[in-house]
Amino acid sequence: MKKLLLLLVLAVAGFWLYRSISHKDEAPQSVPVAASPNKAIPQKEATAGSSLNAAFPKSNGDFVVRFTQEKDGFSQAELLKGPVKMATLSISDTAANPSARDKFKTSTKKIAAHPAAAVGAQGTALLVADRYQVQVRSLVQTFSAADREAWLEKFNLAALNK
Amino acid sequence: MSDSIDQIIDSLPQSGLTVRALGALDYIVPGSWENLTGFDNSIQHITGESDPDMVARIRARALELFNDPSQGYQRALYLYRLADQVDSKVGLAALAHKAGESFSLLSFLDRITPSPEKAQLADLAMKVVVESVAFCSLNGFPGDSVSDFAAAVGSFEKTNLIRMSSIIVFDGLIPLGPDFARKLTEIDLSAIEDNALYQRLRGYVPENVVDIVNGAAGSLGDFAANHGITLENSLGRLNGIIEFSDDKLDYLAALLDMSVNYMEHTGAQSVARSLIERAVGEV
Repeated sequence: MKKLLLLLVLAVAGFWLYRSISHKDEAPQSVPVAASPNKAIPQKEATAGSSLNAAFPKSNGDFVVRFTQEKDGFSQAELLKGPVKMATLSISDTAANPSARDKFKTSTKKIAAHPAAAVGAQGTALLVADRYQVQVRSLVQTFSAADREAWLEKFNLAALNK
Repeated sequence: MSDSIDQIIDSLPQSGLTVRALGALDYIVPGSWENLTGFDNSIQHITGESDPDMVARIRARALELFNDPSQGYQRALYLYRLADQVDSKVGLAALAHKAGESFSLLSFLDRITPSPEKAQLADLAMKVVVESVAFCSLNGFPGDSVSDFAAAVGSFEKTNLIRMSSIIVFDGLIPLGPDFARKLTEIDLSAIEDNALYQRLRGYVPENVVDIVNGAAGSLGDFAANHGITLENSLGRLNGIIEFSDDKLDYLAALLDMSVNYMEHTGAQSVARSLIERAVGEV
């Protein structure tokens, strides 16, 4: 009896499958709508990520800089020492997220003559030309706040200041 | 099912067949995969930040980025989900085909369903394509040179080794046998045009889809060899999680297709990671 039931189920499934396979001309399903309404952020006016790449520090000695993500207004790399990911390096165009500039207004700290501020407990950032946020974030405990500041100074900040 | 990334990550299972099947592959890349669930938990784990206000700001920016379709994160999630949905149909088709072969009463199923080997090979090919297209949707084209891009892909693969391993074991070795990579190098467009996933993906995949598949075949074969992935040791690990007999691997492959959603599960985790890593860079 169980076998017969299984056969019936398979037969129905097979027929359903045959029908779904034979409907090949259907339009591709659209990308699902996000629960919150889809909303474009002002990323389009942001500087192309590829233009930001030139300002990143180069691999140096034991340290390797490897790019990992690049979108309009954002570019990111990881800093490796051997196989260990020590930190992430990023540049973002705050034209796409102006509230990121607020923390620099209340900070008196400067790095390489640019306004600087902490980003949480693991990140340090500076702001170039009141627009580009350059950030270094520790991924391991041995990469200290002083290391973050030292690597911020290795960016070619002049390339962003044009 | 929710379409919002925070709710999806919040509701990812911590146990169940998919999680256990992924856990069974831990021997390939020990400790490389942690089943990160909960969106705020993922933020804390990935960024090292625990202050609730900071976590809330990262979450808000991540959702802004996700909710803008032009940023590519929604598309990547869609692709990973679609791969598993179509996969389930491939499994069902394979079972129907086996039923057609085994019972004369159902021999019509034999004729209307594609041969399991052909369907499974096309399915493996499309998994490879989904992985490539999703990478570009999530991360763009990082760096300024081909070697920068290759290094970025290498880094992404490293944090996504469990999905690479799953593609090889669940969609390569088990349904197609140890020479799955060779079979993939010989695939041509006619072998994948009928694939339901290919039909749905046409708008997203580049024209040189066969080149991508042929090119990736060697990498998959090398990956399997370098990590000592064999059919025997993979089956050994799966034994105890799923009941099967070694001479019925086509049934096992079909069952895995229908009940294990590893692309969607680990894909959602990859989307969340890329989003969170970017959001913390932008807040």
